[in-house]
Amino acid sequence: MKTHRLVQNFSGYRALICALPERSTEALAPTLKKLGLQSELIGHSPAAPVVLPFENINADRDILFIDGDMTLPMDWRCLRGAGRSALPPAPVVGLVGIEAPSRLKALLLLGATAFLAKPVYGGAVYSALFLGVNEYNRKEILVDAVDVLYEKRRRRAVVIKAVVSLMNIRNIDEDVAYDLLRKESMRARLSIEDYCEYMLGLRQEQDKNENAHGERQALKG
Amino acid sequence: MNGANLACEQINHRDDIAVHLEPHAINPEGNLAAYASAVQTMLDQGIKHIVGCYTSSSRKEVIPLIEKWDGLLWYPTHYEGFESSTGVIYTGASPNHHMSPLIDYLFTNFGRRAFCVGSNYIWGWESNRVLREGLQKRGGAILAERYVPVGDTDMDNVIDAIFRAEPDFVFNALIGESSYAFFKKFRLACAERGINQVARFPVASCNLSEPELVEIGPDAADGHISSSVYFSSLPGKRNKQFVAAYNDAFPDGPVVSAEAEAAYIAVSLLANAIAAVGSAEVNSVKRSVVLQSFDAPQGPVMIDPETLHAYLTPRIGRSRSDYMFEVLVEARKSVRPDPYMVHSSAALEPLQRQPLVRIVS
Repeated sequence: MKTHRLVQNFSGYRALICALPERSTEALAPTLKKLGLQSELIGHSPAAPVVLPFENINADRDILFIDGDMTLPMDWRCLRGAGRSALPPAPVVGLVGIEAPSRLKALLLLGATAFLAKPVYGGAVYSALFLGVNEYNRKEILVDAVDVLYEKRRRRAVVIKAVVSLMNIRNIDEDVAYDLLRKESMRARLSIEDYCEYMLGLRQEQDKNENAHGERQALKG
Repeated sequence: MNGANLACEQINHRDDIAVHLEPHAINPEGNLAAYASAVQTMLDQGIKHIVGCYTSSSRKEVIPLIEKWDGLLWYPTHYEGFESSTGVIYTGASPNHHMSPLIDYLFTNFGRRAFCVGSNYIWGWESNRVLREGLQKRGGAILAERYVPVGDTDMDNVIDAIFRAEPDFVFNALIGESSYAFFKKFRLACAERGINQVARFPVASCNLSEPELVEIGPDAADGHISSSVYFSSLPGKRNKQFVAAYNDAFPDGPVVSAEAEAAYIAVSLLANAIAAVGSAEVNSVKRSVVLQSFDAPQGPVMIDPETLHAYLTPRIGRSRSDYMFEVLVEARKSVRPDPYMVHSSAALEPLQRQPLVRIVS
C-alpha cells in the first residue's frame, strides 16, 4: 500500500488539457510550463462528445484538465467498461466555466479533485495542481484500503471456521483460539485470513488422509 | 438589438432627461471567437456600456475583458443562472423567473410525467436538471431525457421515443433550428397518427418567443406553453405604446419578443441611471441603477443590488396561430431574481427514483 507523501513539485509531469479552444484557457499551458509541466492540448468541438484519454496514462506522471463546458461522458466506467475502477486514470482538475450544478456534477463524476475557474488565472494554477494531485493520491490510498477491508470482511467466515475448529481440537475457548491463530499468523508472516485458510486446508487434507487410511484398514479387515 | 436601438431613439427625443446615447454596433454573428475582439474594440474606443450577448458562452468570453477594463455589460437574455459578475447588469429572466412557475403550472394542469428533450448544450442540461428536481420535489417523474446536437433537425428518434413513453407533457429545451424542426415534425407525426398534439402531448418551453413562432410557421405554431416575463400581447397602455413604436421602427421584423423588451429595459435603465447621477462613469452608474425603478412594458422592473439581476414578472402563455401568446397565468407583482436558486432549490440533490438513461442521438 502506498504511503501518502505530498507532491509539491510537479516538474516533469505531463498535463493533458481536454478543453474547448478558447481564450479562457489560454493562460493555462504557459503557466504549467513555468511550473515545469509539459502540456498536450486535446481540443474538441462544443457539440461532439469528448473522447477522454484513458490509455497510456500514468497516474504518477500525468494530470488531466477537463473542461466542464464540453459534452462529457457519465464517468470513467462507461469509457473503460463496467467492473473497472471508477477512479480516473490520473488526477483530474475540472475547468469550470458555467458554474451550474449539472456541470459541476459532471466533473465530480469524472473524479475531479480540484476546480480551476475559467478564465484561467495564472495565480490559481499551482493551488489547483497541489489539491488535485494530492487529493487524488489520498483517494487512491483510501480506495485501496477499502478494497483490502472488503476482502477481509468477505473472508471473515474462514476465520470463524478456523476458531471453531481449533476450539474443538484443543478444547479451548474462542478467545484463546483466536489469540493462538493471531500469534501463529504473525509468526508465519501471513494475514490472519490467509493463515486460517492455510490451517483449514491442512486440516481438510489430514481428515482426507485419515479417512483414506480408515477405509484401507476396513477393506483389509 | 432592435429593442436597444428603440430605447436609444426614444431617450434621445426625451426632453425631461439630459442624456444622449449614441449607439455603436458590432455584430460577431454568433461566432464565439469574434465576441472578445468586438468588445475589446469598443472598450479601446472608450465605450464602457455594452449591451448584448445571447448565449452563455459568448457572455463568458466577454466578462473577463469587461472586468479588466472596468466596463459594464448589460446582458438582456434569459439564462440558466449561477453567475453574478460585478461587471454585468442582467435584465433577462433568472431561472426562478421562468422555471419555477412553469413547473407549478405543468404539474397542476397536465400531470406528473414529463419527457424532456433538449439541445446538447448547457441550456438543455441545466433546464432539464431544474425541471427534474422540481418535478421530483412534487412527486412527479421524468420518463426520459433526450439530447440532440446543437443545430440538428433530425427528430424522428425523439418523436418515436415520446410516443413510446406516453408522457403527460413534453418539456422542450431545444434551441434554434432544432426547436423549430421539433415543433413542426412533432405536430405532423401526431396528425399522421390521428393524435391531437395540443391536447394529448402539450409541449412546454422556457421563453419560447413570438419570432420563434414565426419560424415554426402557421401549421404548428399554436397551442404551445411558454414561460416568459414578457409577451407582446400583454394588456396595458405601456405595452401597447412599446409594441406600436417597435413595429413602426422595424416594420420588417423580427417581431417584438422578450429579448427585445429586455434590451429595451437595459438601455432605458442605463439612461435613467446616468441621468440620476449626471455621469456615465461605470461605478456611479452601478450605484445609481439599483435605485431606479423602471416602468417597463412588462410592468415595474428594478435591479437587485445584491446580484445585479432584474426583478421581473413571470407569466405563462399559450401560443396562437397568429404568432402571439394568450397569457394564462401571471405573477401578481415582480419577483426577486434568484440566480443561484438559493430560495427555491433543496440543499441536497433529490434522490433519483429510477436509473436515468441519458441518450444523445
